[in-house]
Amino acid sequence: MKKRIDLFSQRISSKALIDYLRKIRTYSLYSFVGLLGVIVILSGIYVYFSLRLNNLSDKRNTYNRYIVLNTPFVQDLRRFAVKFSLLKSMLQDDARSYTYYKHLITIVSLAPTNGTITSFKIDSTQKTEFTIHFASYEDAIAFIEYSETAAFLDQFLNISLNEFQISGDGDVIYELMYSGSFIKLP
Amino acid sequence: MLKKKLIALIKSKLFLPTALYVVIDIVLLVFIIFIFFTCYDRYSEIKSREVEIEDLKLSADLIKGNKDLMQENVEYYNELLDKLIPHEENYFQVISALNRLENETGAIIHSYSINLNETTEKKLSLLLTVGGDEESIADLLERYLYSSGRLITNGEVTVSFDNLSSFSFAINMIHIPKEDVILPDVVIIKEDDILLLEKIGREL
Repeated sequence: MKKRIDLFSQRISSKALIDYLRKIRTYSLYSFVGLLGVIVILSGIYVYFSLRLNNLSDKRNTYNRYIVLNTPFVQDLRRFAVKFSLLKSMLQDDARSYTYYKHLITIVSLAPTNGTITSFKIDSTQKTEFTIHFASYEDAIAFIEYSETAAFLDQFLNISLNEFQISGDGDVIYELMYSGSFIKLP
Repeated sequence: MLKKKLIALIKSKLFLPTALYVVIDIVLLVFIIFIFFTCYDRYSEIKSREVEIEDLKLSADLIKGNKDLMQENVEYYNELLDKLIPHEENYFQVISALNRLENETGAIIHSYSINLNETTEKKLSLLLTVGGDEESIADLLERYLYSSGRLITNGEVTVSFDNLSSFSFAINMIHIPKEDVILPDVVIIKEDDILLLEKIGREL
């Protein structure tokens, strides 16, 4: 069993006391060296952190200066952003009638028959109604066949032939009336 | 007896250097604790500064990016947008825009009525009855957005090509009062946006 030394024991001997002091001094010396090492390391870390902080402060000041210098531009930019986002949202709600009318002309022109668009309606949700007229019954039938192909159907979300009208006394005209929705164009 | 032993201990020649070492160790330990907490503070400061700089860098980059894109033209673009979307709306401005639309396209606006269902505090929705020849109608349908000098969007159009003298053309005009302008914090402008504005500028 390890012998314990009690400083305040009256039975303690002078020699044990001296040994004990020696041990304390030795340990203190080691601790001193160790603590000095820790201080050196911590001081190094402190210096590194300080330099890094100075560096970051310089960076922050540079950015701040740039931002302050550009404050009028930023104010203009923010004012710009408000109206520009309004402009874009309004354009999103636009029917783009001319674009879709041109698109319809292209779709009709791809048919094997010559049809003429006589009426066209479109709204901002791309919902459309249009009438195409033909000079002959065969042309109208050929267009109906074309309207059942992918080339025609792929241009619409939904499309239906509402009416096939034959009118006129001398020159008979054949009209196909469609309604549906275009696929949104980019 | 104890007192005597303690006095003997203190008088021992080993006592003073030992005590000195112990005291120095304690001082060093306190110093280490002090440096440790100072370093920790610096570290925390660095971390928060890095976050701050990241935000500043983002703002600066955004400014730079937007500035490069806009090439100092932001005032011109704002003037353009102020024309397209005015801060105020009144009867004379609307009539003036419709007149200009007629003059620019050649189409004739026979009449107009307010579409109350679609009209809001900031959006005026009108149903126009328009007529003209084929060329002027095509011009109207192609150029109505900006040719009146302000933004006009089309809600719905119904054209019968057999009778171009009269067809319905629903339009929307917007305005935004200055007090309703809520400025955003972050603004990112894209190249396409500038191209759009340049195109509008040419059409106005």
